[in-house]
Amino acid sequence: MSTSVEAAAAVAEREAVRAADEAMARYADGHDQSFDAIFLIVAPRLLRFLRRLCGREELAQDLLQETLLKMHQARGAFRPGAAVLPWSYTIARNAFLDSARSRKRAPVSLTSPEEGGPPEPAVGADAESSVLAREAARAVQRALAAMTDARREAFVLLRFEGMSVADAAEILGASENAVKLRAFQAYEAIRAELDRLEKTTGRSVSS
Amino acid sequence: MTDREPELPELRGIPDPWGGSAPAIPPSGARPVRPGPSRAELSRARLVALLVSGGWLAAQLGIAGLRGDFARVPVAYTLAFGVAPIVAGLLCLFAAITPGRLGLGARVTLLATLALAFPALFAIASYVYSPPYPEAPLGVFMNGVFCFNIALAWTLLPLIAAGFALRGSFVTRAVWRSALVGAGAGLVVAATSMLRCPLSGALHNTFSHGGAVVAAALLGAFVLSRITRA
Repeated sequence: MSTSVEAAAAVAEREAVRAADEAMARYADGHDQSFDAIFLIVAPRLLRFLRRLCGREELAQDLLQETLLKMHQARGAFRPGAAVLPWSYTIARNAFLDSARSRKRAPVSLTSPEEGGPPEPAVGADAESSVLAREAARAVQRALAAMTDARREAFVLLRFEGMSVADAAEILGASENAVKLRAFQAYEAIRAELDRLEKTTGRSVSS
Repeated sequence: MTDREPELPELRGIPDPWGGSAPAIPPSGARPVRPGPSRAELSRARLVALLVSGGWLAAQLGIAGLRGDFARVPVAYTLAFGVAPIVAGLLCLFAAITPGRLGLGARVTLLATLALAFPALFAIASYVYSPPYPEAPLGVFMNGVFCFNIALAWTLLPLIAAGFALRGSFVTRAVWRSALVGAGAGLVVAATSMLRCPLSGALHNTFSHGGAVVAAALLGAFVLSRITRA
């Protein structure tokens, strides 16, 4: 049952993304009204991506606006038939990197899950597992905050944004092997943080 | 560094701290008063930039004229330094704006190879190729500086035109792609310089003409890229 729901969701997701690609192609051709359709589909994803990269809700909102402005300005450079998500993620990443540089590499301070919203609730979770999920979310955030931008970007794109290695490599301007290695190094750092939590609680925290 | 091969499926075991929260999106995104140029407008701007730059560089020959001994210059020399750099320059421009697999530009290895190889190849070939006729009299240092400056000055307008035509166009690899635009402009200027400059010494060609190509590529990488990056 859940498999068919997931399959339907995946189909709907693909359709939505395809619609966004077509809308972006129209927008690039000068059809200004098409941006509303792009906004509806792309903006929530970009905001989630930026929030995962920078870890701060307000900053992510600012970076989203900056990304949207850059998308407006660069629309003519969008190639017909290209995918809008990798293109817009790349612009968002540029905005994040510019912002990080201008903040003189201030360490990323990730907000707590409560500030950004609850962690993924497990189906039928009891109170204890809910607390554990929250602790696990905090541990992941701590590990993400402590790692380099390059590792965090690779991990976020592959694990949370569902990108393929090839697409992530295009977005990051790196080789596929480099992206895999960065993501794996990020994974090891997060796994170490989760292992510490598991030792403390005596329960498995992997989802 | 880890000595283990990355096992990417393992990533799925990591919980998503933001997973359950639907982000609050402001009702309308930021919009400029006027959106950027559409694809057709951008194509027109690029064509105009190309024509203006081409006309400008042709004017270099129109103003300075071909070198006095052009009739005696071997055809191979003219082809190697007057024609091949123009072809290479256009190839650089094409590589810089080619959309690539996802519309994010060509692969970084290709861009870097071209951006490094063409200017270096031009400078090295200028040194290795020995002109088959006497060196021009050398009081040469000042001539060299003059020629370098002139070549670089002629490169500026194409770079400015590229800045207008390509502003905000490169979402990835803007530095390498802008370096290619700079190298492309530099190579075409170097070709016209070779056709008009009466000095044919290896050092002069290497440092004055080849150096200008390298300088143009650097200008592209470090100045133009600030404009072209989205």
